[in-house]
Amino acid sequence: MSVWRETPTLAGRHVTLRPLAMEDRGALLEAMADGDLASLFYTFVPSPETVDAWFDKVFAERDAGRVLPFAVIAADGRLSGTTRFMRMSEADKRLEIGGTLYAKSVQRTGLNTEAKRLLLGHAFDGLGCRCVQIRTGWHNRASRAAIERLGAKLDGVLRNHKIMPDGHFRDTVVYSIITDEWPGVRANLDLLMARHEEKSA
Amino acid sequence: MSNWRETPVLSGGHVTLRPLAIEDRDALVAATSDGRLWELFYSLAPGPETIDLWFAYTFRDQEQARSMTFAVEDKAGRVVGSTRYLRMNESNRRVEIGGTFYAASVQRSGVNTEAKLLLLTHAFETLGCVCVQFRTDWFNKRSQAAIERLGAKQDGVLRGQRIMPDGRVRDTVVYSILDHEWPGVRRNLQMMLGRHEEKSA
Repeated sequence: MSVWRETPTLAGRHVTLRPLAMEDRGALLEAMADGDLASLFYTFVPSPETVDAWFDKVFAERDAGRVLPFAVIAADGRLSGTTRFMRMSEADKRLEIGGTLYAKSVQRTGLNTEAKRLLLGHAFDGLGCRCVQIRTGWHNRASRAAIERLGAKLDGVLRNHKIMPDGHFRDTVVYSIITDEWPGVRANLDLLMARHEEKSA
Repeated sequence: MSNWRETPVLSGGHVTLRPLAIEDRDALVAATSDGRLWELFYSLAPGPETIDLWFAYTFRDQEQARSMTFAVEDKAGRVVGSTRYLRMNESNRRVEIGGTFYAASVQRSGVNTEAKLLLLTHAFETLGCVCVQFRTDWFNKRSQAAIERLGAKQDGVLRGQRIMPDGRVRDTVVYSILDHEWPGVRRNLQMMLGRHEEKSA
């Protein structure tokens, strides 16, 4: 199977990303209940009512070759979130990292920093990407700040790009990292990770 | 059938847009041969060598309900170009207008202005779009100028977004018109069309 179709297991020091499976349903709902993420109006978080449709959609996109979905496993072995490669285009050597959700208990812990380091490493060094995009909603300030901390650059703001479940029109902020920028971003992520490790030592 | 699945016939005073058919193959090659459009390094217009592949991609995308492709006919019923709705997304009420090219003899003649008026009117007033996007190559300055003349606003530049047939990594400029901007854009297009008519009167 092409590496563009196969979800790998990516293991770091504090986090492991492995293929998301239907059996993760219960653990994912538990992680999403930590922090009442579902009340955030600007992001879509699966709830007990919507989780089955969410899984159907993610797996349909995976089967169509556009998505590789991951479960994020913390050092203690608990499923602490989810993330994925999406809008994958092998011909254009491009993908997007998105659909990222973490339990509140692991936010701001460095877990996301290492997850991004692993995902970007696989995208650029494993898949040979020329471009990795990261997108978020205009009102998601925490996400925008996190993306900018990685060292991604702002491509633009796609106006009225999506209609959200509550009916509001979402402007989508698009960031990218291109091949030539990857060594710099990698050095930056290693530095951010070292700082987190010092703090928690 | 839903408006989002059925390619309409859109008629104006100078041009008619109707569903493209495989029978248009030779007429389309004759149109792009006028100016040898495929020779521009940033152009995706089909030439005699690439027309069959172009039709195959076009119809495959159309079957997946993501695009509607038009033949553009002048007053005499001659095929002078092609244009399409693409990246159609009914749930987000958004389309892109693109894949547009014209025989050199009708460029700068008002043909494109009226075609855009017809396509935008159908998108906003029949399909109920809240957003119409345009995308073009960073190096296609003529296309960028034409899009800006419509009154579309630039959303951003997607870096490294695409790999072109010659291997060049393309940056894509994204523009949009939102539903509340449509009345202004319509008046602007009607004024531009009036000027073309005065000139050719």
